[in-house]
Amino acid sequence: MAFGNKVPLAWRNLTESKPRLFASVAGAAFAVTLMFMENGFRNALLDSMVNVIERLDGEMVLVSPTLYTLSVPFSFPLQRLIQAEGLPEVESASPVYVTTRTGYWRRPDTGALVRVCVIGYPPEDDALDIPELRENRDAWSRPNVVMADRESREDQFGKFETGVVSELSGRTMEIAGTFALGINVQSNGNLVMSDRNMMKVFPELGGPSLIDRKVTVGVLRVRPGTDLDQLRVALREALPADVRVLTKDEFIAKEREFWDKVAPVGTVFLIGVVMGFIVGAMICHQVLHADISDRLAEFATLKAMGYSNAQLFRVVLMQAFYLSLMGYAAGLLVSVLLFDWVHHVTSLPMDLSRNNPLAILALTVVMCLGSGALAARSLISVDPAELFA
Amino acid sequence: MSSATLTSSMTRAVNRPAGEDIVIRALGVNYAYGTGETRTQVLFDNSLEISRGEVVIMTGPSGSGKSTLLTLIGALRTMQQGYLEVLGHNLSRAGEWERARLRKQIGFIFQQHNLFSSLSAIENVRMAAALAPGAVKKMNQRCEAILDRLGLADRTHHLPAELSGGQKQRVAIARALVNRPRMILADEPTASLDAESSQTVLDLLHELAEGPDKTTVLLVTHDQRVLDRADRIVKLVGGRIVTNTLTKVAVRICRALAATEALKGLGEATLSRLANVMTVEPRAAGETLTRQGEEGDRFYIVGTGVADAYKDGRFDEEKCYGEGFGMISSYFNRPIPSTVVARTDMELYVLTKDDFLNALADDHSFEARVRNLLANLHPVDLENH
Repeated sequence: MAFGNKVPLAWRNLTESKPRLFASVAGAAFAVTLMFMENGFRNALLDSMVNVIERLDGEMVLVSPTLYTLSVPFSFPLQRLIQAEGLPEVESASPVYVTTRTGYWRRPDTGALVRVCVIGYPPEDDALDIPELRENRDAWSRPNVVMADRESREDQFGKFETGVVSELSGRTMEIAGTFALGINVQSNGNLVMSDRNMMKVFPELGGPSLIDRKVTVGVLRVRPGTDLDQLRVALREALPADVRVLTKDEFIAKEREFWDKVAPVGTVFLIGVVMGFIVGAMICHQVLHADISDRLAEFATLKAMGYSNAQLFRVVLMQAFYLSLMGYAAGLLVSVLLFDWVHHVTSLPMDLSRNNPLAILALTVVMCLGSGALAARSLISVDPAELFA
Repeated sequence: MSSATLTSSMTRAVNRPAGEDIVIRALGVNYAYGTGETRTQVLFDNSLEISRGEVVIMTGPSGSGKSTLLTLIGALRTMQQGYLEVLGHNLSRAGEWERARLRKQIGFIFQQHNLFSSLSAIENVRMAAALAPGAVKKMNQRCEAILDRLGLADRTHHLPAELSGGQKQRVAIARALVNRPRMILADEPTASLDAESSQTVLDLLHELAEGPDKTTVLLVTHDQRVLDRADRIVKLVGGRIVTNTLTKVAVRICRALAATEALKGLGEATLSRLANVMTVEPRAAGETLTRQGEEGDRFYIVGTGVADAYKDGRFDEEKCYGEGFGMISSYFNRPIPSTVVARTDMELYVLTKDDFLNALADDHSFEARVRNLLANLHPVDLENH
């Protein structure tokens, strides 16, 4: 038997007082927004930290065994990449040089030096899968030019535009073009240059000979049909222990795991999500408990009439469920606006669609149902006999 | 404990149920709140039998235990001690599930209407209607019909906030009655109603009690209009039932006692006291009930059946329902005036000498009058009276 045989008691109780409904939904929406934002920041952070790795145009990579994050680059000799290219399964190998600590861009309008992440590789290798870099390969192959990430923070570097001339770590450079990559919490801006320019600006990356150049990431493109596990085994056997072999997916997972759990910036935001959940649960509990308290005599009357505790529980849980859906809808709307605003302000990759909206919905429903179940406990102790007192 | 044991224990005429279909059987019911040093007993050894279709008024001062007894009968509390059977459910050992099942057969009317402010009048009634299996369309028809019967046809879709106090209470009554419950338990149901609404509600309750469903109605009330229409009045004082009177039997006995020559002059209060202590005795057809000239120690009133009275061996008169015979010779100083033989199986209401004397103890005027008569008249004259 449907409770109340189509009398929508839960809905009516929830929506009876419009100001109260607004406050209830606002409370739930606040929690939903908090969870979305915290989770959004977490995902934005993790996504931003693997931004460069995701764009590496290869299936496998070689990195230094001591590299624990790309933001603190450790290197290995270029010779290992040449050795790896010797394997028949490897179609090509490209060196990528990264500096995160030693590159400083002089802001043209203020003259201030601002630290910038610089990535270098042979332009003809297309090591990064970014259309503008591929299309403008000739332009940035020239000496003393760089390609600039237009999503870099303008307030830090000024506007990155083609033709702008300034200094990179003491050397005059011209911006040959721009591309879109995105920043992260370690870097407010990115520049890409050819390996030749890179060696001029950062001679410490060079060595006594070409094969001694200090590569940060070696990008391997493998022939179609190659078994990556077998290739990894073969590479490990062929190369000495001063280099580590990873698939691109493993490299991404490793980088994410570092920022998520070791750093542990991701965990901090995850705690934020949990806090949002707890705050939301408390708000929902208060809302539902207050509503039940106001209607205790009515519920006691239902109990006297023969309604079971389970049936009364169902009313409160339905009320909690409706509250969760309304709170989620309102929270989602607010979050869409906030995501857009945060992306605009920080340039962080705030993408709601990558933010597990269904997981947040499930969390919201669980949050409301859980707090509803807690609030409904008072119904068990309702004594209909007191109505005759 | 068996039902038969319980029934046989109810020998006072006015205590007995009006019919054979017993819906409430209570024996030795005790109840206490709290435990240990805070334990307070509020019901003491109460016994009661009520049959289907009775309208029972429970009265008594505040704190007398009437609400507690009502909540026990309504399966709203767990029994502690004694035996209680309601609508065939043994509540002495019923769990919460069985008590909830029983409550679905009971209509509750509380002093407060306790309507959901978020639901319209008809939706509040439908909350109760939904407990009875059936099609939604019929359920709605039932709800509309009961609201219409209570004069709320034009208020069915109004929220409680849009109704007057009396209208709210009538919606609550409609909610209690919509499933045609086998029993109605009501706490001051007419307290917040005007005279016309009260009359409507009382008419409806009596209709239910007298109609084909023969609904049993238990009301806690002090409303005189309700008292006048009760089948039984149960009064509790200090946690004990001090009066449990089936009114029509009490009235019948009082009338028979008042018509008895020897008891003429008894006040209404004394007659009521006598009626309340009379017991019931079954007698078989052909049995000689009294013998003329013998010493008697009882008065009899015919409850059911017919008897023949003989004087000096000759048929004198027929003794039917409500008529009395017998004599308490030691008090009136005269023998039994006639021989009475049961023509059919009979049920007699019996007043023993001890009960008679106890009941008379407070009626000094009657006793003085009898003594005066005894002192001044010859025994033959007294016999003629």
